[in-house]
Amino acid sequence: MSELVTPQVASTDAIAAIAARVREGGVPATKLVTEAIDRAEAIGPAESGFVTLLRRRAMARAEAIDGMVKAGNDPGPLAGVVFGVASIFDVSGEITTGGSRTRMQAPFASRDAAAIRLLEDAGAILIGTQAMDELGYGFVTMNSVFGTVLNPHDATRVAGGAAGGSAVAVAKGLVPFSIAFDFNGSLRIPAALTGVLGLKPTYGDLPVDGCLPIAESLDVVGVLASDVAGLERVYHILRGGAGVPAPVDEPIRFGRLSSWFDTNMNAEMREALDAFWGKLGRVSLELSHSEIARAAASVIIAAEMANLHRASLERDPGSFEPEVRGRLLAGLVMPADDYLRAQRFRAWVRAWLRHKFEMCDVLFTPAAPGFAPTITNPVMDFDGRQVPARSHLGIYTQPISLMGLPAIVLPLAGDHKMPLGVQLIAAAGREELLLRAARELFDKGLCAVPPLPA
Amino acid sequence: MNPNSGGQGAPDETSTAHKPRADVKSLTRWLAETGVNVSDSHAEEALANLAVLQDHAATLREFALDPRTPGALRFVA
Repeated sequence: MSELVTPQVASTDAIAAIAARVREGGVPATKLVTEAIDRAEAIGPAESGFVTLLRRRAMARAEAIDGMVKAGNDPGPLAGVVFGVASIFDVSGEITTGGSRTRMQAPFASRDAAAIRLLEDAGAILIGTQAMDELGYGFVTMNSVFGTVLNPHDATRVAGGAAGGSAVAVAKGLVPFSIAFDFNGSLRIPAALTGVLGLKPTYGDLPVDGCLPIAESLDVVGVLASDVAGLERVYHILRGGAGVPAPVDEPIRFGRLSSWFDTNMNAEMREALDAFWGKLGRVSLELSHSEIARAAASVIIAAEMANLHRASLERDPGSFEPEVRGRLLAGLVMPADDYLRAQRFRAWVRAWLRHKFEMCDVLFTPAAPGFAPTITNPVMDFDGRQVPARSHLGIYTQPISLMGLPAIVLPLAGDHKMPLGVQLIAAAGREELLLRAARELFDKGLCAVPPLPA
Repeated sequence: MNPNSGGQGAPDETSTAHKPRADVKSLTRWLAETGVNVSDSHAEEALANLAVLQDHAATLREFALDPRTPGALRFVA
Protein backbone atom coordinates (compact mmCIF):
# COMPACT_ATOMS: atom_id res chain seq x y z
CA MET A 1 0.00 0.00 0.00
CA SER A 2 3.01 2.25 -0.08
CA GLU A 3 1.84 4.23 -3.07
CA LEU A 4 -1.61 4.96 -1.69
CA VAL A 5 -2.16 8.47 -0.50
CA THR A 6 -2.17 9.12 3.20
CA PRO A 7 -4.80 11.73 4.00
CA GLN A 8 -3.47 12.59 7.43
CA VAL A 9 -1.26 15.44 6.24
CA ALA A 10 -3.23 18.15 4.48
CA SER A 11 -0.44 20.67 3.99
CA THR A 12 1.08 18.45 1.34
CA ASP A 13 0.18 18.16 -2.32
CA ALA A 14 -0.51 14.44 -2.68
CA ILE A 15 -1.82 14.69 -6.23
CA ALA A 16 1.19 16.60 -7.54
CA ALA A 17 3.55 14.19 -5.80
CA ILE A 18 1.87 11.14 -7.32
CA ALA A 19 1.71 12.66 -10.81
CA ALA A 20 5.36 13.73 -10.62
CA ARG A 21 6.46 10.20 -9.77
CA VAL A 22 4.44 8.73 -12.63
CA ARG A 23 5.71 11.32 -15.12
CA GLU A 24 9.32 10.71 -14.18
CA GLY A 25 8.88 6.94 -14.39
CA GLY A 26 9.27 6.42 -10.64
CA VAL A 27 6.08 4.41 -10.33
CA PRO A 28 3.92 2.89 -13.06
CA ALA A 29 0.30 3.97 -13.24
CA THR A 30 -0.67 0.30 -13.49
CA LYS A 31 0.73 -0.24 -10.00
CA LEU A 32 -1.31 2.63 -8.58
CA VAL A 33 -4.49 1.31 -10.18
CA THR A 34 -3.89 -2.25 -9.05
CA GLU A 35 -3.17 -1.22 -5.47
CA ALA A 36 -6.19 1.04 -5.19
CA ILE A 37 -8.65 -1.44 -6.71
CA ASP A 38 -7.23 -4.41 -4.79
CA ARG A 39 -7.60 -2.54 -1.53
CA ALA A 40 -11.12 -1.33 -2.35
CA GLU A 41 -12.12 -4.90 -3.21
CA ALA A 42 -10.57 -6.23 -0.03
CA ILE A 43 -12.42 -3.89 2.31
CA GLY A 44 -15.70 -3.85 0.39
CA PRO A 45 -18.21 -1.13 -0.51
CA ALA A 46 -19.21 -0.18 3.03
CA GLU A 47 -15.65 0.77 3.95
CA SER A 48 -14.26 1.82 0.58
CA GLY A 49 -17.23 3.86 -0.60
CA PHE A 50 -16.98 2.25 -4.05
CA VAL A 51 -19.98 0.39 -5.41
CA THR A 52 -18.48 -0.38 -8.83
CA LEU A 53 -14.81 -0.94 -9.62
CA LEU A 54 -13.70 -0.48 -13.22
CA ARG A 55 -10.54 -2.59 -13.28
CA ARG A 56 -10.47 -3.34 -17.00
CA ARG A 57 -11.08 0.23 -18.05
CA ALA A 58 -8.65 1.66 -15.50
CA MET A 59 -5.87 -0.78 -16.37
CA ALA A 60 -6.20 0.03 -20.07
CA ARG A 61 -5.92 3.68 -19.25
CA ALA A 62 -2.96 3.10 -16.94
CA GLU A 63 -1.13 1.06 -19.55
CA ALA A 64 -1.60 3.87 -22.05
CA ILE A 65 -0.17 6.38 -19.58
CA ASP A 66 2.80 4.17 -18.79
CA GLY A 67 3.36 3.81 -22.51
CA MET A 68 3.40 7.57 -22.95
CA VAL A 69 5.95 7.95 -20.17
CA LYS A 70 8.19 5.28 -21.71
CA ALA A 71 7.94 7.07 -25.07
CA GLY A 72 9.06 10.31 -23.46
CA ASN A 73 5.67 12.01 -23.66
CA ASP A 74 3.88 13.87 -20.89
CA PRO A 75 0.55 12.28 -19.86
CA GLY A 76 -0.55 15.47 -18.13
CA PRO A 77 -0.66 17.13 -14.71
CA LEU A 78 -2.74 14.34 -13.18
CA ALA A 79 -0.68 11.51 -14.68
CA GLY A 80 -1.67 8.23 -13.09
CA VAL A 81 -3.71 9.82 -10.29
CA VAL A 82 -6.64 7.54 -9.51
CA PHE A 83 -10.06 8.93 -8.65
CA GLY A 84 -13.68 7.95 -8.21
CA VAL A 85 -17.02 9.52 -9.07
CA ALA A 86 -20.40 9.52 -7.39
CA SER A 87 -22.96 7.30 -9.13
CA ILE A 88 -24.63 10.19 -10.96
CA PHE A 89 -21.78 10.62 -13.48
CA ASP A 90 -22.13 8.85 -16.81
CA VAL A 91 -19.36 6.32 -17.35
CA SER A 92 -19.20 4.95 -20.88
CA GLY A 93 -20.63 1.42 -21.02
CA GLU A 94 -22.04 1.54 -17.47
CA ILE A 95 -25.50 2.24 -16.09
CA THR A 96 -25.79 5.54 -14.26
CA THR A 97 -27.76 4.32 -11.27
CA GLY A 98 -27.99 7.44 -9.16
CA GLY A 99 -28.10 4.97 -6.28
CA SER A 100 -31.64 3.97 -7.24
CA ARG A 101 -33.30 0.66 -7.93
CA THR A 102 -35.50 2.52 -10.42
CA ARG A 103 -32.51 2.99 -12.73
CA MET A 104 -31.16 -0.56 -12.72
CA GLN A 105 -32.59 -1.10 -16.23
CA ALA A 106 -31.56 2.30 -17.58
CA PRO A 107 -29.56 2.36 -20.84
CA PHE A 108 -25.79 2.07 -20.69
CA ALA A 109 -24.10 5.45 -20.93
CA SER A 110 -22.71 6.05 -24.39
CA ARG A 111 -19.95 8.38 -23.25
CA ASP A 112 -18.25 9.69 -20.13
CA ALA A 113 -19.53 12.74 -18.31
CA ALA A 114 -17.72 15.96 -19.24
CA ALA A 115 -16.00 16.16 -15.86
CA ILE A 116 -14.51 12.68 -16.29
CA ARG A 117 -13.30 13.53 -19.78
CA LEU A 118 -11.56 16.67 -18.53
CA LEU A 119 -9.81 14.79 -15.73
CA GLU A 120 -8.74 11.85 -17.88
CA ASP A 121 -7.49 14.24 -20.56
CA ALA A 122 -5.18 15.54 -17.84
CA GLY A 123 -3.90 12.01 -17.10
CA ALA A 124 -6.13 10.96 -14.21
CA ILE A 125 -7.59 7.45 -14.08
CA LEU A 126 -11.16 6.67 -13.08
CA ILE A 127 -11.27 3.50 -10.98
CA GLY A 128 -14.93 3.29 -9.99
CA THR A 129 -18.27 4.75 -9.01
CA GLN A 130 -19.21 5.57 -5.44
CA ALA A 131 -22.13 5.10 -3.09
CA MET A 132 -24.78 7.69 -2.43
CA ASP A 133 -28.27 8.11 -1.00
CA GLU A 134 -30.96 7.19 -3.49
CA LEU A 135 -31.09 9.93 -6.14
CA GLY A 136 -29.05 12.13 -3.83
CA TYR A 137 -32.00 12.53 -1.50
CA GLY A 138 -30.62 12.33 2.04
CA PHE A 139 -27.64 13.24 4.17
CA VAL A 140 -26.62 9.82 5.46
CA THR A 141 -25.68 7.44 2.58
CA MET A 142 -27.91 4.69 3.89
CA ASN A 143 -29.16 2.96 0.78
CA SER A 144 -31.30 -0.18 0.88
CA VAL A 145 -30.00 -1.37 -2.51
CA PHE A 146 -26.34 -0.34 -2.48
CA GLY A 147 -25.77 -0.47 1.26
CA THR A 148 -24.80 1.85 4.07
CA VAL A 149 -21.38 3.50 3.97
CA LEU A 150 -19.50 3.46 7.26
CA ASN A 151 -17.71 6.44 8.73
CA PRO A 152 -13.95 5.65 8.66
CA HIS A 153 -13.47 7.33 12.03
CA ASP A 154 -16.12 5.19 13.73
CA ALA A 155 -17.84 2.40 11.84
CA THR A 156 -20.94 2.71 14.03
CA ARG A 157 -21.62 6.16 12.62
CA VAL A 158 -22.90 7.43 9.28
CA ALA A 159 -20.51 8.87 6.74
CA GLY A 160 -22.91 11.64 5.82
CA GLY A 161 -24.44 12.10 2.42
CA ALA A 162 -25.72 12.15 -0.11
CA ALA A 163 -22.28 11.52 -1.68
CA GLY A 164 -20.89 9.61 1.30
CA GLY A 165 -19.00 7.04 -0.77
CA SER A 166 -17.00 9.79 -2.47
CA ALA A 167 -15.87 11.27 0.84
CA VAL A 168 -15.07 7.91 2.42
CA ALA A 169 -12.88 6.86 -0.52
CA VAL A 170 -10.78 9.98 0.06
CA ALA A 171 -10.76 9.69 3.85
CA LYS A 172 -9.58 6.08 3.60
CA GLY A 173 -6.76 7.09 1.26
CA LEU A 174 -7.96 4.92 -1.61
CA VAL A 175 -7.98 7.91 -3.94
CA PRO A 176 -6.58 11.41 -3.41
CA PHE A 177 -9.77 12.93 -4.80
CA SER A 178 -13.33 12.18 -5.85
CA ILE A 179 -15.81 14.19 -7.81
CA ALA A 180 -19.38 14.35 -6.66
CA PHE A 181 -22.45 16.56 -6.74
CA ASP A 182 -23.90 19.10 -4.37
CA PHE A 183 -27.38 20.57 -4.71
CA ASN A 184 -28.10 20.89 -1.02
CA GLY A 185 -24.95 19.95 0.86
CA SER A 186 -24.47 16.52 -0.70
CA LEU A 187 -20.67 16.60 -0.71
CA ARG A 188 -20.13 19.18 2.05
CA ILE A 189 -21.87 17.11 4.73
CA PRO A 190 -19.87 13.89 4.17
CA ALA A 191 -16.69 15.95 3.90
CA ALA A 192 -17.42 17.41 7.33
CA LEU A 193 -18.33 14.11 8.95
CA THR A 194 -15.37 12.16 7.57
CA GLY A 195 -12.70 14.84 7.97
CA VAL A 196 -11.81 15.64 4.35
CA LEU A 197 -12.06 18.77 2.21
CA GLY A 198 -15.03 19.46 -0.05
CA LEU A 199 -15.52 22.25 -2.57
CA LYS A 200 -18.95 23.20 -3.92
CA PRO A 201 -18.32 25.80 -6.61
CA THR A 202 -20.67 28.54 -7.72
CA TYR A 203 -23.78 27.26 -9.47
CA GLY A 204 -22.96 26.87 -13.16
CA ASP A 205 -19.19 27.00 -12.70
CA LEU A 206 -18.32 23.38 -13.56
CA PRO A 207 -19.80 21.24 -16.35
CA VAL A 208 -22.76 19.03 -15.45
CA ASP A 209 -22.98 17.46 -18.92
CA GLY A 210 -23.38 13.72 -18.54
CA CYS A 211 -24.60 13.90 -14.94
CA LEU A 212 -27.93 12.47 -13.88
CA PRO A 213 -29.95 15.55 -12.92
CA ILE A 214 -31.16 15.70 -9.35
CA ALA A 215 -32.55 19.21 -8.94
CA GLU A 216 -31.75 21.10 -12.11
CA SER A 217 -31.92 24.57 -10.58
CA LEU A 218 -29.35 23.67 -7.95
CA ASP A 219 -27.14 20.88 -9.32
CA VAL A 220 -23.42 21.56 -9.02
CA VAL A 221 -20.38 19.35 -9.61
CA GLY A 222 -17.76 19.56 -6.87
CA VAL A 223 -14.57 18.00 -5.57
CA LEU A 224 -13.53 16.11 -2.44
CA ALA A 225 -9.81 15.86 -1.70
CA SER A 226 -7.31 15.20 1.03
CA ASP A 227 -5.45 18.52 0.79
CA VAL A 228 -6.01 22.08 -0.40
CA ALA A 229 -3.47 21.95 -3.21
CA GLY A 230 -5.10 18.85 -4.67
CA LEU A 231 -8.54 20.36 -4.42
CA GLU A 232 -7.34 23.45 -6.25
CA ARG A 233 -5.52 21.44 -8.91
CA VAL A 234 -8.57 19.33 -9.73
CA TYR A 235 -10.91 22.31 -9.62
CA HIS A 236 -8.87 24.22 -12.19
CA ILE A 237 -8.74 21.24 -14.52
CA LEU A 238 -12.52 20.84 -14.25
CA ARG A 239 -12.89 24.44 -15.32
CA GLY A 240 -11.36 23.43 -18.63
CA GLY A 241 -8.75 26.15 -18.71
CA ALA A 242 -11.15 29.00 -17.96
CA GLY A 243 -9.39 32.04 -16.56
CA VAL A 244 -9.22 32.88 -12.87
CA PRO A 245 -9.12 36.32 -11.26
CA ALA A 246 -5.68 37.76 -10.57
CA PRO A 247 -4.47 36.89 -7.06
CA VAL A 248 -4.86 39.57 -4.39
CA ASP A 249 -2.45 39.89 -1.49
CA GLU A 250 -4.75 41.76 0.87
CA PRO A 251 -5.59 39.99 4.13
CA ILE A 252 -8.77 37.97 4.07
CA ARG A 253 -11.53 39.32 6.31
CA PHE A 254 -13.41 36.47 7.97
CA GLY A 255 -16.89 36.76 9.48
CA ARG A 256 -19.02 34.27 11.34
CA LEU A 257 -22.66 33.99 10.32
CA SER A 258 -25.15 34.25 13.18
CA SER A 259 -28.88 33.62 13.66
CA TRP A 260 -29.85 30.62 11.53
CA PHE A 261 -26.28 29.37 11.57
CA ASP A 262 -26.00 29.68 15.34
CA THR A 263 -28.94 27.47 16.21
CA ASN A 264 -29.17 23.71 16.72
CA MET A 265 -25.42 23.27 17.12
CA ASN A 266 -24.22 20.53 19.43
CA ALA A 267 -21.94 21.47 22.33
CA GLU A 268 -18.87 19.95 20.69
CA MET A 269 -19.42 21.94 17.51
CA ARG A 270 -20.08 25.19 19.35
CA GLU A 271 -16.93 24.86 21.45
CA ALA A 272 -14.75 24.15 18.42
CA LEU A 273 -16.31 26.91 16.33
CA ASP A 274 -16.03 29.46 19.15
CA ALA A 275 -12.32 28.70 19.42
CA PHE A 276 -11.91 29.02 15.66
CA TRP A 277 -13.83 32.31 15.65
CA GLY A 278 -11.74 33.64 18.52
CA LYS A 279 -8.62 33.31 16.43
CA LEU A 280 -10.13 35.10 13.43
CA GLY A 281 -11.14 38.40 15.01
CA ARG A 282 -14.59 37.57 16.40
CA VAL A 283 -16.50 39.36 13.65
CA SER A 284 -20.10 38.26 13.37
CA LEU A 285 -22.58 38.94 10.58
CA GLU A 286 -26.17 38.29 9.76
CA LEU A 287 -27.12 36.60 6.48
CA SER A 288 -30.80 37.29 6.60
CA HIS A 289 -33.30 35.27 4.59
CA SER A 290 -31.35 32.05 5.22
CA GLU A 291 -34.36 30.21 6.56
CA ILE A 292 -36.43 31.38 3.60
CA ALA A 293 -33.65 30.16 1.34
CA ARG A 294 -33.80 26.76 2.96
CA ALA A 295 -37.57 26.67 2.52
CA ALA A 296 -37.27 27.67 -1.13
CA ALA A 297 -34.61 25.03 -1.73
CA SER A 298 -36.84 22.32 -0.28
CA VAL A 299 -39.80 23.30 -2.45
CA ILE A 300 -37.67 23.52 -5.60
CA ILE A 301 -35.95 20.20 -4.97
CA ALA A 302 -39.18 18.35 -4.26
CA ALA A 303 -40.90 19.74 -7.35
CA GLU A 304 -37.99 19.23 -9.73
CA MET A 305 -37.21 15.73 -8.49
CA ALA A 306 -40.84 14.71 -8.74
CA ASN A 307 -40.92 15.99 -12.28
CA LEU A 308 -37.72 14.17 -13.24
CA HIS A 309 -38.91 10.85 -11.82
CA ARG A 310 -42.56 11.11 -12.71
CA ALA A 311 -42.38 8.22 -15.18
CA SER A 312 -40.94 5.89 -12.54
CA LEU A 313 -43.56 7.03 -10.05
CA GLU A 314 -46.31 6.25 -12.56
CA ARG A 315 -44.79 2.86 -13.39
CA ASP A 316 -44.03 1.60 -9.89
CA PRO A 317 -43.90 3.91 -6.88
CA GLY A 318 -42.96 0.91 -4.76
CA SER A 319 -39.53 0.76 -6.39
CA PHE A 320 -38.34 3.85 -4.51
CA GLU A 321 -37.13 3.86 -0.93
CA PRO A 322 -39.90 5.02 1.41
CA GLU A 323 -38.17 8.26 2.40
CA VAL A 324 -37.58 9.24 -1.21
CA ARG A 325 -40.97 8.09 -2.44
CA GLY A 326 -42.83 10.14 0.14
CA ARG A 327 -41.03 13.32 -0.83
CA LEU A 328 -41.38 12.71 -4.56
CA LEU A 329 -45.11 12.08 -4.29
CA ALA A 330 -45.51 15.20 -2.20
CA GLY A 331 -43.49 17.16 -4.74
CA LEU A 332 -45.79 15.94 -7.47
CA VAL A 333 -48.82 17.60 -5.92
CA MET A 334 -47.17 20.86 -4.80
CA PRO A 335 -48.89 23.78 -6.54
CA ALA A 336 -46.98 25.43 -9.35
CA ASP A 337 -47.65 28.65 -7.47
CA ASP A 338 -45.34 27.57 -4.63
CA TYR A 339 -42.62 26.40 -6.99
CA LEU A 340 -42.68 29.70 -8.86
CA ARG A 341 -42.63 31.63 -5.59
CA ALA A 342 -39.50 29.68 -4.60
CA GLN A 343 -37.85 30.35 -7.95
CA ARG A 344 -38.72 34.03 -7.71
CA PHE A 345 -37.11 34.21 -4.29
CA ARG A 346 -34.05 32.39 -5.63
CA ALA A 347 -33.61 35.00 -8.36
CA TRP A 348 -34.13 37.82 -5.89
CA VAL A 349 -31.76 36.58 -3.24
CA ARG A 350 -28.94 36.00 -5.73
CA ALA A 351 -29.15 39.61 -6.85
CA TRP A 352 -29.43 40.83 -3.26
CA LEU A 353 -26.30 38.91 -2.27
CA ARG A 354 -24.06 40.97 -4.52
CA HIS A 355 -23.79 43.56 -1.77
CA LYS A 356 -23.30 41.21 1.15
CA PHE A 357 -19.56 40.71 0.93
CA GLU A 358 -18.53 44.32 1.52
CA MET A 359 -17.61 43.88 5.19
CA CYS A 360 -16.15 40.38 5.01
CA ASP A 361 -14.58 38.40 2.20
CA VAL A 362 -15.19 34.94 3.60
CA LEU A 363 -18.12 33.98 5.81
CA PHE A 364 -18.09 30.85 7.90
CA THR A 365 -20.61 28.55 9.58
CA PRO A 366 -20.62 25.08 11.03
CA ALA A 367 -20.82 22.57 8.20
CA ALA A 368 -23.02 20.23 10.22
CA PRO A 369 -24.52 20.47 13.70
CA GLY A 370 -21.97 18.14 15.32
CA PHE A 371 -20.44 14.68 15.14
CA ALA A 372 -21.74 12.08 12.71
CA PRO A 373 -24.92 10.45 14.07
CA THR A 374 -24.99 6.73 14.73
CA ILE A 375 -26.21 4.30 12.10
CA THR A 376 -28.54 2.47 14.47
CA ASN A 377 -30.26 5.69 15.56
CA PRO A 378 -29.54 8.39 12.94
CA VAL A 379 -31.16 11.32 14.68
CA MET A 380 -29.99 14.65 16.07
CA ASP A 381 -31.07 16.75 19.00
CA PHE A 382 -32.52 20.16 18.09
CA ASP A 383 -33.70 22.12 21.11
CA GLY A 384 -34.43 18.95 23.01
CA ARG A 385 -36.30 17.34 20.13
CA GLN A 386 -34.99 14.48 18.06
CA VAL A 387 -35.01 15.05 14.31
CA PRO A 388 -33.95 12.68 11.51
CA ALA A 389 -30.34 13.13 10.39
CA ARG A 390 -31.33 12.07 6.88
CA SER A 391 -33.25 15.30 6.41
CA HIS A 392 -31.60 17.70 8.87
CA LEU A 393 -27.82 17.31 8.68
CA GLY A 394 -27.73 19.95 5.94
CA ILE A 395 -29.44 22.82 7.75
CA TYR A 396 -26.36 25.04 7.30
CA THR A 397 -25.55 23.99 3.73
CA GLN A 398 -29.01 24.16 2.19
CA PRO A 399 -29.45 27.96 2.21
CA ILE A 400 -26.04 28.43 0.59
CA SER A 401 -27.01 26.15 -2.29
CA LEU A 402 -30.17 28.14 -2.95
CA MET A 403 -28.11 31.31 -2.94
CA GLY A 404 -25.78 29.77 -5.52
CA LEU A 405 -22.66 30.73 -3.55
CA PRO A 406 -19.39 28.78 -3.59
CA ALA A 407 -18.50 27.04 -0.35
CA ILE A 408 -15.71 24.88 0.94
CA VAL A 409 -15.78 22.56 3.94
CA LEU A 410 -12.60 22.02 5.96
CA PRO A 411 -11.91 19.86 9.02
CA LEU A 412 -11.42 21.86 12.22
CA ALA A 413 -8.13 21.20 13.99
CA GLY A 414 -8.23 19.79 17.50
CA ASP A 415 -8.45 16.60 19.42
CA HIS A 416 -12.11 15.89 18.72
CA LYS A 417 -13.76 12.53 19.22
CA MET A 418 -14.98 12.69 15.61
CA PRO A 419 -14.33 15.09 12.71
CA LEU A 420 -15.99 18.50 12.82
CA GLY A 421 -16.24 20.65 9.71
CA VAL A 422 -16.37 24.38 9.10
CA GLN A 423 -18.06 25.78 5.98
CA LEU A 424 -16.44 28.82 4.31
CA ILE A 425 -18.56 30.86 1.90
CA ALA A 426 -17.57 33.53 -0.61
CA ALA A 427 -19.26 35.70 -3.19
CA ALA A 428 -20.26 34.04 -6.44
CA GLY A 429 -17.26 33.32 -8.64
CA ARG A 430 -14.73 33.76 -5.81
CA GLU A 431 -13.53 30.17 -5.51
CA GLU A 432 -9.92 31.31 -5.65
CA LEU A 433 -10.54 33.34 -2.50
CA LEU A 434 -12.02 30.31 -0.74
CA LEU A 435 -8.99 28.23 -1.67
CA ARG A 436 -6.62 30.94 -0.45
CA ALA A 437 -8.58 31.12 2.80
CA ALA A 438 -8.34 27.35 3.14
CA ARG A 439 -4.56 27.44 2.70
CA GLU A 440 -4.30 30.19 5.29
CA LEU A 441 -6.37 28.27 7.83
CA PHE A 442 -4.27 25.13 7.39
CA ASP A 443 -1.06 27.17 7.64
CA LYS A 444 -2.31 28.75 10.89
CA GLY A 445 -3.10 25.34 12.29
CA LEU A 446 -6.81 26.12 12.61
CA CYS A 447 -7.74 23.36 10.20
CA ALA A 448 -6.18 19.91 9.91
CA VAL A 449 -7.17 16.57 8.47
CA PRO A 450 -7.81 14.24 11.42
CA PRO A 451 -5.86 10.96 11.45
CA LEU A 452 -7.79 7.76 11.03
CA PRO A 453 -7.97 5.47 14.05
CA ALA A 454 -5.19 2.90 14.11
CA MET B 1 -40.63 29.09 9.98
CA ASN B 2 -39.86 26.26 12.30
CA PRO B 3 -36.10 25.62 11.93
CA ASN B 4 -36.77 22.01 12.73
CA SER B 5 -38.91 21.42 9.69
CA GLY B 6 -37.66 18.93 7.14
CA GLY B 7 -35.17 19.73 4.45
CA GLN B 8 -33.88 16.83 2.45
CA GLY B 9 -35.29 13.36 2.49
CA ALA B 10 -37.45 12.07 5.28
CA PRO B 11 -40.38 13.94 6.75
CA ASP B 12 -39.94 15.78 9.99
CA GLU B 13 -42.09 14.11 12.59
CA THR B 14 -42.04 17.21 14.79
CA SER B 15 -43.41 19.63 12.20
CA THR B 16 -46.96 20.46 13.15
CA ALA B 17 -47.15 24.15 12.38
CA HIS B 18 -49.11 23.64 9.18
CA LYS B 19 -51.26 20.58 8.95
CA PRO B 20 -51.87 19.37 5.43
CA ARG B 21 -55.27 20.14 4.05
CA ALA B 22 -55.35 16.78 2.34
CA ASP B 23 -55.95 13.42 3.95
CA VAL B 24 -54.95 9.96 2.74
CA LYS B 25 -58.12 9.54 0.74
CA SER B 26 -58.02 12.90 -0.98
CA LEU B 27 -54.30 12.66 -1.63
CA THR B 28 -54.67 9.19 -3.14
CA ARG B 29 -57.37 10.53 -5.44
CA TRP B 30 -55.31 13.61 -6.25
CA LEU B 31 -52.29 11.50 -7.19
CA ALA B 32 -54.47 9.18 -9.28
CA GLU B 33 -55.72 12.20 -11.21
CA THR B 34 -52.10 13.05 -12.04
CA GLY B 35 -51.52 9.49 -13.26
CA VAL B 36 -49.87 7.95 -10.19
CA ASN B 37 -51.68 5.16 -8.38
CA VAL B 38 -50.49 4.58 -4.83
CA SER B 39 -51.40 2.45 -1.87
CA ASP B 40 -52.68 3.96 1.37
CA SER B 41 -49.28 3.44 2.99
CA HIS B 42 -47.56 5.34 0.17
CA ALA B 43 -50.13 8.09 0.47
CA GLU B 44 -49.42 8.33 4.19
CA GLU B 45 -45.71 8.79 3.46
CA ALA B 46 -46.56 11.48 0.95
CA LEU B 47 -48.93 13.18 3.35
CA ALA B 48 -46.24 13.55 6.02
CA ASN B 49 -43.90 15.05 3.45
CA LEU B 50 -46.60 17.31 2.10
CA ALA B 51 -47.02 18.78 5.58
CA VAL B 52 -43.32 19.69 5.59
CA LEU B 53 -43.46 21.21 2.12
CA GLN B 54 -46.56 23.20 3.02
CA ASP B 55 -44.66 24.51 6.03
CA HIS B 56 -41.91 25.69 3.70
CA ALA B 57 -44.43 27.16 1.29
CA ALA B 58 -45.98 29.12 4.15
CA THR B 59 -42.54 30.54 4.98
CA LEU B 60 -42.12 31.59 1.38
CA ARG B 61 -45.52 33.25 1.26
CA GLU B 62 -44.49 35.50 4.15
CA PHE B 63 -41.83 36.94 1.87
CA ALA B 64 -43.83 38.52 -0.92
CA LEU B 65 -42.00 39.47 -4.09
CA ASP B 66 -43.74 41.39 -6.81
CA PRO B 67 -43.23 39.48 -10.06
CA ARG B 68 -44.24 42.45 -12.21
CA THR B 69 -41.15 44.48 -11.41
CA PRO B 70 -38.26 42.04 -11.42
CA GLY B 71 -35.69 44.83 -11.43
CA ALA B 72 -37.02 46.28 -8.20
CA LEU B 73 -38.54 43.43 -6.32
CA ARG B 74 -40.25 44.59 -3.18
CA PHE B 75 -39.34 43.24 0.22
CA VAL B 76 -42.55 43.05 2.19
CA ALA B 77 -41.88 40.47 4.89
